[in-house]
Amino acid sequence: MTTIASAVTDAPFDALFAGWRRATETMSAPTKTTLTEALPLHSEEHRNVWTDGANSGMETGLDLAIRALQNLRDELGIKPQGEATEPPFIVAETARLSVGRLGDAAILPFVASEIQEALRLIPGCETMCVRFFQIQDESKGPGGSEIYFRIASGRAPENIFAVPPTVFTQRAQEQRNTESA
Amino acid sequence: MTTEIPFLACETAHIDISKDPAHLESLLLNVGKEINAALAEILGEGVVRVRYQNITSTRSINRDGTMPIFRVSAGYAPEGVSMLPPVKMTPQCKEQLRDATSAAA
Repeated sequence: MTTIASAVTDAPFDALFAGWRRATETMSAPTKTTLTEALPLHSEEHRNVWTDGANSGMETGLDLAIRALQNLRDELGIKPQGEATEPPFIVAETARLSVGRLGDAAILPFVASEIQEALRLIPGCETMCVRFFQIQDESKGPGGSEIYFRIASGRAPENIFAVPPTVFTQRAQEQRNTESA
Repeated sequence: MTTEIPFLACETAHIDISKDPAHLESLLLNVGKEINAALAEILGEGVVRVRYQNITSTRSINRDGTMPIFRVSAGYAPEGVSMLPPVKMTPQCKEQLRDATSAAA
């Protein structure tokens, strides 16, 4: 299966840039942090294209990054990640956890990666992914942030943030209900 | 303990929380709970569990004498999973153990 990341990074530079510009024409671009989380790129050159594009119209939001990727994916005719997986692909999202200080979250990527390694040693969980995501929240003071994890089952793609979650923990669901009320 | 799948506990590497033990321990406990809830959504209740354990040991690798670890268990994971010895270790966990052993020698 062709992945978004490999297809995009294999695309000609000009086509990639043009695709990015078109994809973001009608929306503000996601932040550098969101982009690097959402799309792991192989080369510095490609990374710069994406971050330059992001910096030209800063607005936070993983949804924007996903929409941009989806538009680009459609233009390039790439099959979305997470489709045609056996067994059915599931992404679970945890609640957001307040970190308070950005530096305190520094250990969490390591925690996520270790939990993933551990899960992969357990029969039946070999293809599970655990990913950590960090949102900066100015209301929590300088460097304040919130964090959440996404966990995937099935044949988990490298970038599970490009796939919308299909289930939520109870707390995550409560947070969503509160926000939409 | 009834097990459908043989019980298995896996130990992760030790995580240094000595910079701010109280705050980071609380954060890790919450992380463990939320990840457990997410695993339960995917795999079903009690199949795989993550446990956080903060132990003080003479073979400590941290300045504050603690070795914070997560353990992930498969099968029917009892509440006291952290009391059971791990059957497997992550690669980083093995490396830490090897380094600690060679430093002590």
